[in-house]
Amino acid sequence: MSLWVDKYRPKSLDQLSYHDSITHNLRALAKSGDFPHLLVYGPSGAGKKTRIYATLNEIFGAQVDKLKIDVKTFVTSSNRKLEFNVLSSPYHLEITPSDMGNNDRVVIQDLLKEVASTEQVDFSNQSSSKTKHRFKVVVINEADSLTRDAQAALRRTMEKYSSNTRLILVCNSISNIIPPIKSRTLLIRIPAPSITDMNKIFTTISNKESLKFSSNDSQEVNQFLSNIGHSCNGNLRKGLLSFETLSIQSETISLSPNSLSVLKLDWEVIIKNLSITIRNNRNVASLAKVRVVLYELLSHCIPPRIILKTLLFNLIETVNSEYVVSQLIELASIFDERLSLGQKSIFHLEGFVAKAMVAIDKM
Amino acid sequence: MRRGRNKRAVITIDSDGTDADEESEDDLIEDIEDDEEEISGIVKRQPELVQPEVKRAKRPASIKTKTEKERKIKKETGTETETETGNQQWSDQYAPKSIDDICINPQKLKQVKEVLYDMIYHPDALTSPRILILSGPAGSSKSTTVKLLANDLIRSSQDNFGSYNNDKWIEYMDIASSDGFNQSNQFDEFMNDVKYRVGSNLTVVVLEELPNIFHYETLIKFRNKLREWLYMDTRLPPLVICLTEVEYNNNDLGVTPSYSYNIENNLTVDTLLGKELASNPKVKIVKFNSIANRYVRKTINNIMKYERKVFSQIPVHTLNGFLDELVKLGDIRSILFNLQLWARNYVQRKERGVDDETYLETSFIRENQINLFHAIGKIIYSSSEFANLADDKKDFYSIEQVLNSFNNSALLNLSILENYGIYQNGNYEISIASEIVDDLSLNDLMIDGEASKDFGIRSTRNKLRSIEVRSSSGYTNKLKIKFPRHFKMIRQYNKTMYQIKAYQRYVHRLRNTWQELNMIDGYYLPLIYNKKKQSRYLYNRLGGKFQEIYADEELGVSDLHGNDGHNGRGFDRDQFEVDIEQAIAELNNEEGSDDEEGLSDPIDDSIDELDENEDEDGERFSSDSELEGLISQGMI
Repeated sequence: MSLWVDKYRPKSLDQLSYHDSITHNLRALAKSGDFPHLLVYGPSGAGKKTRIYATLNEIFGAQVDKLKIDVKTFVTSSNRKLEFNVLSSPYHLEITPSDMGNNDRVVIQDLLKEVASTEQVDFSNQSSSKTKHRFKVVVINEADSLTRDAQAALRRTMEKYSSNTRLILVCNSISNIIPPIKSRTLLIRIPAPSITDMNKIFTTISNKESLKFSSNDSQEVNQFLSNIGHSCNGNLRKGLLSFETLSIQSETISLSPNSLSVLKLDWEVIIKNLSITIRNNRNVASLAKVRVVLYELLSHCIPPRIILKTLLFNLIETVNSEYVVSQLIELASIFDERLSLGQKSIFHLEGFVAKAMVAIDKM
Repeated sequence: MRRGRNKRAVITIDSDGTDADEESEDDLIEDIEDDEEEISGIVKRQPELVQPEVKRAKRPASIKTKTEKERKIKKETGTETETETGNQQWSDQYAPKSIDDICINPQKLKQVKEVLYDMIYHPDALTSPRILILSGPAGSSKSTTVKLLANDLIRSSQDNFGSYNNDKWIEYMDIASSDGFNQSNQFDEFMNDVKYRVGSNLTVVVLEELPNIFHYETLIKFRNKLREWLYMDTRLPPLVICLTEVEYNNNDLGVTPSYSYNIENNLTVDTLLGKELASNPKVKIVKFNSIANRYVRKTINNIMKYERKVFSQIPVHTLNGFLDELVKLGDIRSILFNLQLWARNYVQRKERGVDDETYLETSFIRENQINLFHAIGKIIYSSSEFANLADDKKDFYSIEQVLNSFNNSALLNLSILENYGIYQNGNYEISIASEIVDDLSLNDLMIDGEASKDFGIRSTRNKLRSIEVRSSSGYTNKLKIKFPRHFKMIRQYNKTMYQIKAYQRYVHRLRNTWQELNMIDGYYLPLIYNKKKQSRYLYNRLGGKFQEIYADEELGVSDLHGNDGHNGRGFDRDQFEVDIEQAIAELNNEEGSDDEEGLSDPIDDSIDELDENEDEDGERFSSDSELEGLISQGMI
């Protein structure tokens, strides 16, 4: 009874349905039995991890899907115990450095050293592969959240242990990755699936699940599925979850555009309403109300930069003066930078809102 | 200065020989030793004999008359003070003997009296209030009030037994013990003993000293005992807790962030008892304030009548100048100490002929702490103390005052953000507000250095100054100063993150980042699962519902030790929690069967965490400096 997102997740390269050229390259890479360090990047929900696992599956066999979670303990120099989770199979392990906070440099170095120091034993008789895999794969999630420090340390480690470890760095954008790392890895970009790609997947699933739509006109159904695709901004994961949500609300899926309203994420709705408040009531009292909402979003772990970005796009929709739009974007860029530099995001979010009110006032 | 005093002290000895009290003689020896360093320890007793000779030669002639005068006065006052055996501190000497003499607002006195009366004479022993808490700053007559009232209320009713002359109150003493006596049970035993102090033996139980409540177990024991006391089904003596509220603000949020208020840094009724106990209907709370000037004046005037001899020598305007400064303290005990010291000093100086009418030695006055709310008020409205100065000076001194007495600038900045909007009830241009917030935002970028301490604060004051003052007549501040809700947000943040991470770790098995789970899955999953699965509970939004976070008018107290019930949780029990717990249980079984050593430990830990109150986990997270760094880096 798993979610569609898991149920229809491709397990091998053959099952992958879009970005055929990338799939082709990955297959070639897997065939060779060896590969350089990889840096896989692209927007979330595009299928980065799916492709990585499919490739690993191709190389090592189904064993890589037998995942277990270990809790590793690391003692920092200040004698504090730090625990983090490692997801591992016999052939690879996966870590998320944001679990480690500021100690990521030491932790990653330590972990890689440990991995590298144990020679990979390959039971090549069991897995019918042709080549001996004398390396273990380490997948580093959210590599863009690695501190500069850790990235710098990584580049030495990459060279030092390249004989028996392979790194796969995964991230959304490579703008935060330092050039030496980019140079030492093979960059693979996984773009978001197109609406057509997603449409195909939705159609396949709706056939397999034998879903009923309120109309049998394939044109209409297609249009409806495209709308779902649009609503999730190329995030297939989000798309599949929304599609399943829609399908489960009623026996037959109503094709009216209204039914899509349930798909709007709760926090997106909150930000949307926030933008309307900002547009309509531009005074000091309104700022206090805005603060309530900003704190609400922050307290639910919505990243401040996402709040800022979403708010900006919503605000742009409400104003029709190009000049103001350019002003808003400039303000957003200033406060976006401050968000990265500063300590407490509320100052900068409220700063943006206040300045935006003034900018709209001058319209 | 000091030298001069020595000299004169010597002279006093010299001419007054045997009369001098021992203390000044000892002082003298030390002082002389200071002066004459070459005298070694061996000849220590000698200076007594030798030094006066030396000094005498240096004695200026003019002083002689003064000294004799001084001696005369000493004798006069001496007879008076000697009769008051030993007890020479005015605060003790003139301690109120009856409730009418207490230095307190009569309204407050009446309020306490009514509650206490109700506690003693309530017709139904079971529903009567059982605990009275008097909270307030030090020296606001809390314990004096309750002790005198106890004697007054109980004695008057027991005239038949008039022979009792003892006090009608009993006080708990927390005695540190080294003889193996179990200290943590001491409070329990005390409470068990005093509960029989009813009927003809009626006594008010006063808790001024508390057991070591900074020790977690002791605090819990303390609260449990009080709870037990509330629900005991017999008549009990009234229990009065005098709590001096303390706020420690010496830790700078910017450097070592401690993102919440708890008993460690803030002793208040709420942190002591926990929210649940503090809001119990059988617990009455009376808040004392610093004593207002006129009540202090009344008390001082009374004392001045008795000490006419001293005060008659002080010119009225000098005295008043000093008193004006002094009464601001609002702490009667401290005021009396200072007054006594000052008055004596003044008289002595005068006797010595130091003609210094403007002598205002205020250095002994306890530095008046201002609390956060005062500090914010001074920044937002500027201090009324400097009202007659020019605008820029007014602002400068107000801010200076805040900076000197309140060094938690990170907290101040958060508070300004929370409160800049209350100026003129928010009726001013949005552009000015935007400049204030802009500067606060810039201030947040300054990590270290002096500027980061006051940039935002000064800029706020300046910007608010630039607002045109509207017709001030009939204008009232409708909006109250609020405590920043940052801490509330952090707590909620930790709760949410904790649940999502637990879900990610145990149910979702780490396949996506927890941020993704929060922003996407967290919304859709309940919509899917609630239709698809028949489960015992409903699935709520992952990480709890979105809740608006409001600022409070009181200090944001986190119920760190408030493990009383699960009210503090931000979300109801839902199926996600059940799933997580199940997953952990399964995992444990597996691990238990094949690998007992390495892995079971950390997992056990996580179970404990789950079982505990979420609040506490929140605390645990927020005390984690690594995580703090993380939060500050990007997530918050």
